[in-house]
Amino acid sequence: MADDDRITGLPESVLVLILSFLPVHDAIKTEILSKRWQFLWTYLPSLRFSQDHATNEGFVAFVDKTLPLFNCSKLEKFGVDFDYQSRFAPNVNSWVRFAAGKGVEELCLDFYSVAAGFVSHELPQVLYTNASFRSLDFSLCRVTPKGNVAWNSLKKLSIGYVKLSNGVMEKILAGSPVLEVLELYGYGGFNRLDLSNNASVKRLILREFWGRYGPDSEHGDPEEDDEDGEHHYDSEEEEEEDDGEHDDFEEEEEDDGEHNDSGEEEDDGEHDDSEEEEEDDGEHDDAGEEEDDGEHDDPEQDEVDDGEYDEERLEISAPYLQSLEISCCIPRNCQLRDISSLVDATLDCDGSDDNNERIQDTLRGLVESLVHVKRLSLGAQATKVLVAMEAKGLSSRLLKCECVHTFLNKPDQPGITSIFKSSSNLETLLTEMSSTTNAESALLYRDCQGRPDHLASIQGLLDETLANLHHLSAEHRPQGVQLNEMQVLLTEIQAGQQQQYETMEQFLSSQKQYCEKLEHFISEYTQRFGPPPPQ
Amino acid sequence: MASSIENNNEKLTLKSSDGEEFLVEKHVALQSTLLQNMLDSDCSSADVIPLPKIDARTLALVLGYCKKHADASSSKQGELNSFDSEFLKDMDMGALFNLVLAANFMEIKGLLDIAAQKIADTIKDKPHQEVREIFHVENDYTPEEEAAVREENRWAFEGFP
Repeated sequence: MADDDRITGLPESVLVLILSFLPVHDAIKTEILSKRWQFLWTYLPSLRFSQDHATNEGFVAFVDKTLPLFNCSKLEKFGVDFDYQSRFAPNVNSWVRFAAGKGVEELCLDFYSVAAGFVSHELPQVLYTNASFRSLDFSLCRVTPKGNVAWNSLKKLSIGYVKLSNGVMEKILAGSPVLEVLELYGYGGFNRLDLSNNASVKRLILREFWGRYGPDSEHGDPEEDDEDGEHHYDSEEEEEEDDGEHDDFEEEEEDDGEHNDSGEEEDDGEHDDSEEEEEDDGEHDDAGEEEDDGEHDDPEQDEVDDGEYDEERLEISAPYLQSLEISCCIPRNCQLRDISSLVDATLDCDGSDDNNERIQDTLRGLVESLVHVKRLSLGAQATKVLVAMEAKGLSSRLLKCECVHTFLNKPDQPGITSIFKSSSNLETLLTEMSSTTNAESALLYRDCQGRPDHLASIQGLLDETLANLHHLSAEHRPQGVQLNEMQVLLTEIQAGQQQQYETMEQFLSSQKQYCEKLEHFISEYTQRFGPPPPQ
Repeated sequence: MASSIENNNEKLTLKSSDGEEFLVEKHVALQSTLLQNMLDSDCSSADVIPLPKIDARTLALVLGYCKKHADASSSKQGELNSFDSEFLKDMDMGALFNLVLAANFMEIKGLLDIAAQKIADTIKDKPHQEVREIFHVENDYTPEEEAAVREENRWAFEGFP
């Protein structure tokens, strides 16, 4: 069949679908192709506006101008990512109302704030009651429902870079009866996360706790956001200007705990007012000079709670949860209660600036809670804690896991071998090591099927890490351990380059490809230098 | 894959536009909403189901996709993602169009999306003339009309600085 027949045969629904995978302005440009294409883009069922390199004003004007042209009666997705500033609040609200009016199912407001602070957008109250939403993604949006929340179809909720409160979390959970995935990043302000009435929630992701150390930014958009002069404000000058700007918070409404911040301690005096501000809570926290910690414990009463609000405390009850990720900065006092259904867990606080010492205890508690899960992934710090526990003979209680993925900072961490010994269910152990040496070095051990009680061979390794890795070899393998597959992978992981993997499977599959490359490398190595020395 | 084996309850036979027959396990066929609806109604699985718009080469690809997705458990999402990207990797535009049409006809949402995404990625950032060639679009605007369209949505063409 001739190509022409085929292409003219592409139904408009398919063409529109293809357009929907383009950035909106690229989709619009296809109107120039021919008359048939002129209005195709106006039927796009999902709209994603990205600022890219546009100026704020240009972008906002573009969205304003374009939205009324869409004919689609039902919108599947609506997304905006741009450099938000508070003067755009009315525009954003009108976009969001437009989307909600079209019955949008996936709404994504992915704001960032280039200017200086974490300026956040107060979501309009109308959003809190909506039966169409299936997926919500808010970054830098303040979630402060005045009434109840009713998100009866909501499956996935993601909220980032804003503080919440116990009351808000309760409202959200009570109002989201079919929620499956809850993701919070740059979170804080609440100390209870009780999912025991949300049997549908299967996956919980907590990244980057904002406790007393929020982002160290001030009130946002210093340069531009000055409808009224006093907003003009930027981080360098925060101290002096600070008070000035307090008075413009008109509405009070909820002092969700971030006030603490507003803080330079010099101004404590004036903090009492903090109860009345509200508007910009999001960004307060940050004020971030370390000196203020001193006074942090303070003003934020958590309405619902027992008056004593410890912002470093977080208690998670989630009897139905199957998958949990806690990463980056974690609350100092973080406890897992009733996570009996959990099968998959990731605990990784390596990316944070947290002082190792300070979080040891927290990590230990978390690791202990997690050893029953089937698949466990631990960052370097958590691995270290696990190894230390192992060394103290706590092993019998440890690791019922079938699959463990760990990171090591140093290749010679002997404890890792004894973890095998105490892990009778272990089928897969994946170890990544970061190395400061320029290690193209790689090591791959592979167990042979059918010879489960010892490693069949060491396929090769590079000299500089050879010595360090001997302890992982055959003679250290305990009898009877059912390791069907053990891969020890030494890779160079530059700090910060560590990828985040959504699931263990994703990680494993990416590593498999890597392993194939390694095997090639190793066989060449063996040819040149012969097999590694016997143990 | 063509086969003349007797159908049993677990399999059904699909026939491509060029007459080739494919014996397909039922759980694989269920990836297609079209087939699912047919099976749910009274359509007997013993019948040969003709797919007059889909040639054998395309149908073989489609069924390969369906089989992979039907057999993988839900926990294998990562693996499926890498399968998906490999699956379309070196496919030419003609094959992609056939695939997207087949997926549309057979109502296989996942395949439809990845094929459409792939086509979108290909045309993104290409000049109009090239996009016209890819889609075999004849420019039926007069120069004046074209200028008018361009003017109308100028901000999209020039970016929005």
